[in-house]
Amino acid sequence: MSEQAYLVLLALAQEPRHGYGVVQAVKEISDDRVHLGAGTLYGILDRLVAAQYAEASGEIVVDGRLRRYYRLTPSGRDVLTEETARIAGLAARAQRLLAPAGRLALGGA
Amino acid sequence: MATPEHCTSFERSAHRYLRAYPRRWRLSKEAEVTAVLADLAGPGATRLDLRSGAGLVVNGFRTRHRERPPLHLLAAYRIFGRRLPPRYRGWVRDDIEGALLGFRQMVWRFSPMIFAWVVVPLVIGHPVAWNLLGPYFLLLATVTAATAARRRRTEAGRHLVPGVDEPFGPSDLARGWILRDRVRARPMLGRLACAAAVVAAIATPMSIGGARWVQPVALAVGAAIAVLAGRRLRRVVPRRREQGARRMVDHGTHWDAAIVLGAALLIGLASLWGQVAVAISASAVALLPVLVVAWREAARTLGELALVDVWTIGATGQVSPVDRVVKGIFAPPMDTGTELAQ
Repeated sequence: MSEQAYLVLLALAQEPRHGYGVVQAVKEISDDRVHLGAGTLYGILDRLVAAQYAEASGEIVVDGRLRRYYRLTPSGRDVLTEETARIAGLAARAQRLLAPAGRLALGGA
Repeated sequence: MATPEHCTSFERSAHRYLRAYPRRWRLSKEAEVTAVLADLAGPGATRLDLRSGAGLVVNGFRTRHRERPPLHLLAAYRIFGRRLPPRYRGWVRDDIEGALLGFRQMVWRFSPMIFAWVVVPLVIGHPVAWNLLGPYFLLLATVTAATAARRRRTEAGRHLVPGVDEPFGPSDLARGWILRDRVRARPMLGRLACAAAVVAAIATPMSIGGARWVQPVALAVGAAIAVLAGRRLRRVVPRRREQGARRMVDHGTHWDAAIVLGAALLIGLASLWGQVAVAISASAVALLPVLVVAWREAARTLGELALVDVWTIGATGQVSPVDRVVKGIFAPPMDTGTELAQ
């Protein structure tokens, strides 16, 4: 799963969001590091909906603009949880490798 | 907040880039994506910036590529008319309802001939027989354009109606009783009259010298037929029957293409052979007054006149029979409805 797709799933995990809301949430979660364009966002949303990790959950018109909301499905939440656990496990292993005791253990006699 | 004028020009700008996406994708998502683009662009934006537009184009073509069937299935569909699996039904519907369906099929089905008769001679330095191939391909193109609507219906019936054991999907069509489509007479007759005038004007000078008497005779015959047809139309059109099972439609751009291609074909044939030029110019000169009179009567009629009415009344002097509903295919509304209690 790409980082951008992971961040979109994370944004939807908090609450159902429309497209612009997802872009804003991803920007905030990534600490202003990831800026999604509309083309990239909808490519990710199309693949998530096709994989049944996300679904459309309603639409409203605000100031003449159509806002379609998306939400996470139960299988999307499961895959997000697994991916988060995988990333957390990887981060923990990386921390051990980078810690001073770990570096001495690798280089010791 | 953006004013209505800015939204409109911004939307137009966004829609140009969104054409990279497949047709049904645009139908379902264009409004939503345009709203997101407008939010991202900020208030006062009058057009989409180039970087965002390029992103849309790239992702649009990626979406097309992702939804396209693999090459072996695509070739079987194009060349042999094989049904694709239901998961490609949306792509098939875009293909059938999109423009130039007939030409896409023509390119696939005639590619071996094009390769043998055009590409191979060009590669080996042999002259290509354009004086034969030109009229042949032009005739193919004219027939392809003229039969576009019928082909679309046939292909839709073959590929978009689910089988008995297949679930009904959002891109599927259903069989049922539908209104009979009839083409409006006035626009079509106007275009045919213009084409006849152009063909007559260009083909007549190409006629071989000794046959110059043919055109005045053709004009006299055409004028006599035009007078007779005009009288019939004026007398019978007010008595035409109510047509409750009829739907009036425009002739479609495929007919415009067929008329232009057909006129080009006739002019091309006339330029190649003088005797053929005589026949073509005489036919065009004879048809011209008939078409002009028919067009004028259709323009003067209160309410809409169908092309079939003009033909039936002009040729026979009788009113057209009442159309009946016909078997056809349609896109049913996707309302889930209510299951009746047993």
